[in-house]
Amino acid sequence: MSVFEKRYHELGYKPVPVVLKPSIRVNTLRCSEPELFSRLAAKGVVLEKIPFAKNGYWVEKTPFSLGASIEYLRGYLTPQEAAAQLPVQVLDPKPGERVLDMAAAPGVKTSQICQWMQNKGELVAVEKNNRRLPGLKNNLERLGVSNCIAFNTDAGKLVEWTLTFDKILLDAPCMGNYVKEKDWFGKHSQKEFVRNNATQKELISAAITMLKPGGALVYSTCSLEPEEDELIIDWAVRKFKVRCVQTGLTIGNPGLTTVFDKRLSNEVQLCRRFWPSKTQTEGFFIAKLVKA
Amino acid sequence: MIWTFIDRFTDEEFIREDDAYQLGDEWYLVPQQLFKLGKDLPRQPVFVGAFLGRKRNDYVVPGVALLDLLARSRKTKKVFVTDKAAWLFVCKKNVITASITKTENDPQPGDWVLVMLNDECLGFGEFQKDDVKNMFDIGDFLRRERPIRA
Ligand SMILES: C[S@@+](CC[C@H](N)C(=O)[O-])C[C@H]1O[C@@H](n2cnc3c(N)ncnc32)[C@H](O)[C@@H]1O
Repeated sequence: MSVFEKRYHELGYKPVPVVLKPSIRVNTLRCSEPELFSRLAAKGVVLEKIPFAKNGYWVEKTPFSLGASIEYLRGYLTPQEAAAQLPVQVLDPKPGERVLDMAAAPGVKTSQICQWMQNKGELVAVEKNNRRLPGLKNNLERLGVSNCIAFNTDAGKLVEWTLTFDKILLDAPCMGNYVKEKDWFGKHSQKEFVRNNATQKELISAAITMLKPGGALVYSTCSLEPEEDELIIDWAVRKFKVRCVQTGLTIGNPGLTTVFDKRLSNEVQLCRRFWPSKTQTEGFFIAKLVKA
Repeated sequence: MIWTFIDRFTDEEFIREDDAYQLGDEWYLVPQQLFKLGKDLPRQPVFVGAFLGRKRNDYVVPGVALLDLLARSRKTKKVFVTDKAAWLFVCKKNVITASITKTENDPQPGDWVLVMLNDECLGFGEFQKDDVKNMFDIGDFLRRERPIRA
């Protein structure tokens, strides 16, 4: 048993393999849900609504690859894992707001934010890795985004720009999870989350600085490691004037408040933790913070 | 360059020159609010507003937003194609005349035309006697890069 599996056992979870159902998000900036649904049905595609994700559908059956269809090329849909559709839903960006996406590439959630904003208002998107920019730009173009301004820079340094935001998404860089990657347990070591922690803390403190009073920050990862999830939120609520609030999600488990004998702040239980075999999604973590 | 490109399709002025913004080799249609925000920031963006197109060698590769705007212009020359020809077209193939179900604005050999599946623009090509030569199609998205992880 790998060190990670042992850790999950200690946290009360037995990691069993999960086969994910492919899922899509309908991009209502380009096409309505009923229109896409009937169009794909006519081609033999069977979709089933994901009950917990606003524009999400599981692909039950498809005679061809949806990622190579005219509907995909025209930007009517985008492949997006079911749990990964939820951070933006929790953020609930509105038309006319000023929103920041701090870790943007390849832009799947960036385009989802613009969808929620109906392309109205301002979205600032930031990506540090320039090799990931082509993917980001292609998605923004294909999905019909028109209210986004994107930068290739370190989001941690953005505080120097003295901008403030109504809402911020920090879909933080993390070490991923065993459902997302083959032989994940064999490929990763605990050193990784130690390394990621510095970036995660730097980014979340920058995010809180840039948030308007009363503004909301959603912190998400596709990691199951508490060091990248609950411990970051615990650190943030103790250090800054923010409080953890309900996500509005019914799926997922409450955030852990005892992690390897360490007792965390009670409000951390308001976060949602997605143990894959319980949610039938990839591993995920979502927290919503509001600035005082 | 982008204006010469647009002129090949229509003389209708549907984008004000003031609203288009050149960023290196790329052009964008930028809402005023976003433009103002960008002007005050210390760094050049890599993407802003709606993507209109980019220069590739001596050509303009149009963005989907521009193709859709062109498709809305009443004066743009268009060919409408069958489902099968539409799929072949997005796989980089030319459109043979037999697959054209309808034309708009009387395209002549040598003209640039939008290739349409119903009201959806799939790209453009040069209208020729026996076919429409594929000059750009939206299958380009699949050919540009290998997708990367979210
Ligand atoms: C989990 S991925 C984001 C996925 C993206 N939100 C989506 O849904 O398509 C994290 C991203 O953060 C980027 N990143 C890492 N450190 C960063 C930093 N300091 N500033 C901005 N981006 C950063 C990584 O290069 C990576 O593209």
